[in-house]
Amino acid sequence: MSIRIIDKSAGKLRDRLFVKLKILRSLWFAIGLSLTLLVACGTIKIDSFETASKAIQNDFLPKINIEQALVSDAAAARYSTDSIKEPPPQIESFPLYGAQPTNDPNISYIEIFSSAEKASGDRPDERWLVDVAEAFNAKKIKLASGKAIQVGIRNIPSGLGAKIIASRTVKPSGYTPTTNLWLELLQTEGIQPKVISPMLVPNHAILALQPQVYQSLAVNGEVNFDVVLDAILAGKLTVGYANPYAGSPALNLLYSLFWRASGHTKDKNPLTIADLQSPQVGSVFDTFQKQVSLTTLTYLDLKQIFIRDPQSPKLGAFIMEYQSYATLKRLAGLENLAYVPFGVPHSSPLVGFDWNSPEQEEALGEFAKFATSEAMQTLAQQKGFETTNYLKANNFPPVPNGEVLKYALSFWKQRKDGERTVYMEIVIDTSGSMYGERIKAVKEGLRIATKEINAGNQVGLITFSDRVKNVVNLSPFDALQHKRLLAAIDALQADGNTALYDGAIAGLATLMERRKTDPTGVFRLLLLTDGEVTTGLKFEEVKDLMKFSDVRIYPIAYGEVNQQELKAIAALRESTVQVGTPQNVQNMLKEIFQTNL
Amino acid sequence: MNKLNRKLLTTLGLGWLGFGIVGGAIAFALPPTQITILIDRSFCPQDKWQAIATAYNDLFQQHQNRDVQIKEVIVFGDLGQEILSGVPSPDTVRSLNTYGRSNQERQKQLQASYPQAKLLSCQFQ
Repeated sequence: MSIRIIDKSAGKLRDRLFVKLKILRSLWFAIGLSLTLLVACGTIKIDSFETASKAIQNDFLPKINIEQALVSDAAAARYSTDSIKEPPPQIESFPLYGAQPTNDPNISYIEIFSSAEKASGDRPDERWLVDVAEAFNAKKIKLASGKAIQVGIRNIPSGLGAKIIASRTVKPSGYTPTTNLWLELLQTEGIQPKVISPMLVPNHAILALQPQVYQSLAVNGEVNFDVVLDAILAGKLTVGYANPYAGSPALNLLYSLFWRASGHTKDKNPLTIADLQSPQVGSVFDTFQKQVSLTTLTYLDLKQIFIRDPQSPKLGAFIMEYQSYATLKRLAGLENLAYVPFGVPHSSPLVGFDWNSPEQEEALGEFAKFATSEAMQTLAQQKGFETTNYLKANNFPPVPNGEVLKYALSFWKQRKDGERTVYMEIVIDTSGSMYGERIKAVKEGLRIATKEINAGNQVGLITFSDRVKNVVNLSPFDALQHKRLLAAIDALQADGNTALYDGAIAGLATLMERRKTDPTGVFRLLLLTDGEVTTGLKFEEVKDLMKFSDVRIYPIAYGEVNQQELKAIAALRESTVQVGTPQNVQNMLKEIFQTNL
Repeated sequence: MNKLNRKLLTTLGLGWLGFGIVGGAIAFALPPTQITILIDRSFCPQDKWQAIATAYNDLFQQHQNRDVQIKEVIVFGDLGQEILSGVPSPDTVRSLNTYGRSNQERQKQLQASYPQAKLLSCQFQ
């Protein structure tokens, strides 16, 4: 009896406990569900420009302390925009391969400036001339005087090489640009190059075409430069282009576009300045520029972006060297990449100058003989330098006068954006690690680069260290804005930690707000940093904001930076990371401004 | 009454049928004129291009009304030529990019290939 009573009360207790537990569990479940819903409703899913903009305004900006440290107009007025002198780029920032300069009286040393597609010592497919120089130096070929010739190859882009030579601050013995066009430009600066060899290797410029683009054009017959150009102008195809001041394929395309638009295919006459002033030619240029989806510093950036995303609709066609295309096609998945050739050949002429001694002239001649020997030409062929059918057909536009090319370049600079306004926020790291030479070089680089901004485009300056400072508001570029920028650049000081993403978000916020009032504008953010993020927002938090911002971000890895995160930023918005040093940052900033502003 | 109704209906029916047959025969014997339109897309200032777009719009309306039948529309310029797929809307023509020089040789070739074609060009306006 007592056992039954105990059993009964134990059962009751168990039931009561179970009910209590059930209520408790249900309560916790309800609380959990409510919390989850609360969190889910409070967080905006970022999957569009609108949601990214809303998140920045509502969730991110309130957390970032942006100090308004604007330069006053009174301070700006003290600066002059006329006194900006541009020193030539520092030659030490361009690598020298082969032999190094020597004082040995038994050696005749010559240095040759060479374009990058054949003198990039760190890239096996783009170092043909370095291999030639090393083989030549090993032979210790002697001059009539008995001295052994030793050759150094300086890897320097053709356009920059021409500029340095024109400044006469550095006098190399030889110069081998990609194409004769640069020699014509040199002559306008009063320098008469002496041709040692008209061609070191065969090559030409091309428009690389995605396979599906080529197939769609091939439906109507042969695909040539005219067909591709017509498709671009008709709005069926977007194109990747590069800065024509720096690289040969871009300069050649600019010239070929003008020459073709002027109707000289039949009379074969060279392009004239009068041609460039005709509305018909202008209309081709303006329509072409509308179809340019990307303008990079060099075609190598386009190549990098294409390898990252071979299906990118923005790169239906893009410029490059044939030799670079030949090696690109060897990569898995890119075998069907097609091309059309265009323009004047890229023969890599070797020239000397009137400042050379007879001995240097003789040494250059010996080197040219060796470079054009059968063995070296076979080596060139292995690296993609081939005499293609286009070169065999020998039906090229004539090489134009340098003055015409100069005019064409300034035409590009002035009209490249059509009626669209370019907006750029310059976001600069001023953390403690930038102290000394680094900040000094950036200040000098920015000061000179401001000369490259077209009037009417809008530029602002933001700095970041522990906190973010807005030092110049994003405003149309005119004389006063130019002075504001110069004053703000002059006042830059290095101190504190690196709140990289706080600075980036502050810049994005302004640009995205501006985009709402000018949807046809072009939006850019230049992000220069020399270190890891040490404070503030993290990449994972801002990744989607950057992705959906409609702002192209140009990261500059300045110094010893972990580039992985910057590469991830670049990949979000069809860009590449530029690697800066105090030696090259001046030229890099100038080219970024020249290309984008 | 029924007889009268039947007769009336038969007369009306036959009348309409005859009317339809005659109409069909006329339509078959005299179809709308088929035309090919050649559009010169070489550079044309905006105001002049609007006139071209208006002229195309008129032809398009006639096509809609079956007064004419647009067989194909060919756009051409100095760099090439293209047969547009289908009959483009007036807005499509209005928003076409115009660029480059005119090419008389190509124009003559096209006119020789399509002798009945209607040419829309702002080069001689």
